[in-house]
Amino acid sequence: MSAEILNASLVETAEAIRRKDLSSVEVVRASIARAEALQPKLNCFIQLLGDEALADAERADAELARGKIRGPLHGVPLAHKDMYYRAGKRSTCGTKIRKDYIADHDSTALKRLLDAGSIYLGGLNMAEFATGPTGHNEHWGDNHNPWNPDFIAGGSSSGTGSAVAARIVYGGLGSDTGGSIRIPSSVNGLVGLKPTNGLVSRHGLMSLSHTMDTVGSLTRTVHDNARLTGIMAGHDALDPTTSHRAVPDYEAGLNAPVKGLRLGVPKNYFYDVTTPEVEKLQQDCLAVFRDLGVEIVEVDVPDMHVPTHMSNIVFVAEAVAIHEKWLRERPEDYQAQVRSRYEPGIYMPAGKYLRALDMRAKLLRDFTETVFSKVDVLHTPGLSMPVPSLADTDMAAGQGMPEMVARLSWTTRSNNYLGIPSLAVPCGFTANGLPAGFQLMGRPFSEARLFQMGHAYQGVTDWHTRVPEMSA
Amino acid sequence: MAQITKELILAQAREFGGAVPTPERAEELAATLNVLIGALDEASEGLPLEAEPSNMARALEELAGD
Repeated sequence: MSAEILNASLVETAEAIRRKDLSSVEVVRASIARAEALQPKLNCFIQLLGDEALADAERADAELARGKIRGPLHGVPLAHKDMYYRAGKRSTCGTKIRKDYIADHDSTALKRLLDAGSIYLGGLNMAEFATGPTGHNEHWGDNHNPWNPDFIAGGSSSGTGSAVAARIVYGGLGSDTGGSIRIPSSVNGLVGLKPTNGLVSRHGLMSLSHTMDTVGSLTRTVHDNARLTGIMAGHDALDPTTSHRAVPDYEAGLNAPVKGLRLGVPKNYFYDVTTPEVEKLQQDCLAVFRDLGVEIVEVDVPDMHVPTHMSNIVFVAEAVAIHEKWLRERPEDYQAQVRSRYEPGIYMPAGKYLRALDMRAKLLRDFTETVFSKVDVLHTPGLSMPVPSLADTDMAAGQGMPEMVARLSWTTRSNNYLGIPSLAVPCGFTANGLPAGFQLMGRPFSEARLFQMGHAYQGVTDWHTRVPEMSA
Repeated sequence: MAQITKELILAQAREFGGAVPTPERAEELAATLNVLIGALDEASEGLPLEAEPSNMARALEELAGD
């Protein structure tokens, strides 16, 4: 019964609770039991708050009995990357430097999910300070992939990827500054959205690179992701960089026909380091879209090395601004790999940082006009290679680390600088038994279109229904 | 722009404090920074510095699509 409850989608579960076919207490108890059973294998939780969650579930059931429904997530347990603040509660940010940090304000994104009725099951493991694409963490222990614990869970939203794929929770928050939602989504066989910069408030979370940080969720289905995004999106007075645009009803647009839409396949850059096995899965995926009536169009894209380099300039400068005091006073408390990622920022001239920021709008216009004048959506690999093992990527700050980081984020990093939305969707498995995925990219604020395309794909494929053996 | 050198990194590191890089690491850092700055200089050559922080937000809004 427990597996049946937890293997349902977020939307199905929310509807089952609303219809009173299931109680929130039943669902939360199942989540807690699975979290406790799998924690020794996955290490996906930093804080599992079972008692608190169960009390909230009891309250949710009592409210429902009285006819009160908080919102479209009433009674549904979620867990989130441990960097979203709740006033008076601990938020570790995956580091020992902030192991006892108590926030004095709430994250807007998280508050909106809680106000919609979701239950907070706990804070999830992550790369230290959201820095790193693999899920290694010396402070809280490495995070493991539920499809095979010897392999990476991706990063930096490692625990969210692992916990959602293991069917412990139905979804959860990640954050994405260079691929930190999309990489763990691809690696764990999940759907993950890096939204347009300015769609979702960044208020009340640990910042890494404030001009490129984005807030989004990891889920099993596109429909689930559309629901969470719709709840979180929209202007927030506490984050003046959020857009005033009206938020579309993402769920209402999911079933719009995709026939006749133009899906771009990049001729350059995105496949430069893609392995043949991953490329084959992308071709199979494109064939599915072709069968759906989508027109596949090859397109030249601008040189993506440029926005990738620009993003690295911005990243190191902004990260060091946040970490300067700790880098001076307690450098030994950082993981070597994390500290080495920030280190160039100490020496980056301020004028170059400002120049890189100044180039951003121009490069966004160039990319959008070059690509989206020819196609509606661009399709790329999610990850360029089969998911690597924890051992193969455990290189601290040693030789090969920068190359490994660059390769894992090959298709993702530039989009945070450009600010455009990108949706990761699973599309099969490589020979090592680990998931692979693709990425859809669109014009700014075209999340509805990405959800529509991703949902159409999931409507005729079943990759998202496959369950890791440990959760079956 | 003049290249960033190992010597410059080591001199700045002594001022900054914290963990001072080894000469080998300083060499790596200088190489990394020079690649990034070289790419920036090439991409921005001949373009004015607009110094308008709202440009990016305006571009996102103007280029928005469904």
